[in-house]
Amino acid sequence: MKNRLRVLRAEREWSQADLAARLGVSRQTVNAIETGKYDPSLPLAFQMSELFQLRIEDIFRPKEELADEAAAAQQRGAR
Amino acid sequence: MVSELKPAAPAGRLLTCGRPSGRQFLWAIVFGISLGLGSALLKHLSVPAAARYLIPALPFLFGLLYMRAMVGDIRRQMDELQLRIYLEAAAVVVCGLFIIALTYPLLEAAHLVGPLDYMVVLLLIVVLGVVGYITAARRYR
Repeated sequence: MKNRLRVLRAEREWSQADLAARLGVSRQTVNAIETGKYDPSLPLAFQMSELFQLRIEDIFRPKEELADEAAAAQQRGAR
Repeated sequence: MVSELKPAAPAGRLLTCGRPSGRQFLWAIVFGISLGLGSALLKHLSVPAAARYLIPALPFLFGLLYMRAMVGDIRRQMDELQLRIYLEAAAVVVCGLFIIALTYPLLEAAHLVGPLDYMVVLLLIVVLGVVGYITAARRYR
């Protein structure tokens, strides 16, 4: 699973510790999610969705979907 | 723009993450003392038959209370990644002991080792737990 957490956090100028405090998790959890080592639980994903005022699918995307999009963009560029 | 910090989780939920609560600490001490006292009583004094049942039963009861406090702490205090790391470490301990319990009789039958000592089992639990925790913690670092 890929996510835009780092970007969303940077846009708001929040540190990992700030985001962790808002979500009620540890900074290590935020770091592990950002680096893709850990996928959050559904309740935590909903909390993130509420915090950033975005849909869950706007924050998290399956890796395959991103790979498909990248391949499609590459094809468009080749034409 | 940085807005005011407002935790989504209950206040103080993670402040004690991974640390034993006072209740867990208390039951651990009571459990330890009851084990030591019970062991000394049974070794050095001739106790009546009823007490011989009661003395091992008390540490068992305190051990259960300690376990209940520990599980409560895990449920209340840990965030989901920490919980996952703990569960992975616990899985290593359980599976490791299961494998050892199944293979040890073979080693014993082959006269390669003697009867299994309680202290060895305790040591194995600690070693497997530490190995499991370090492995899981490194994976999510």
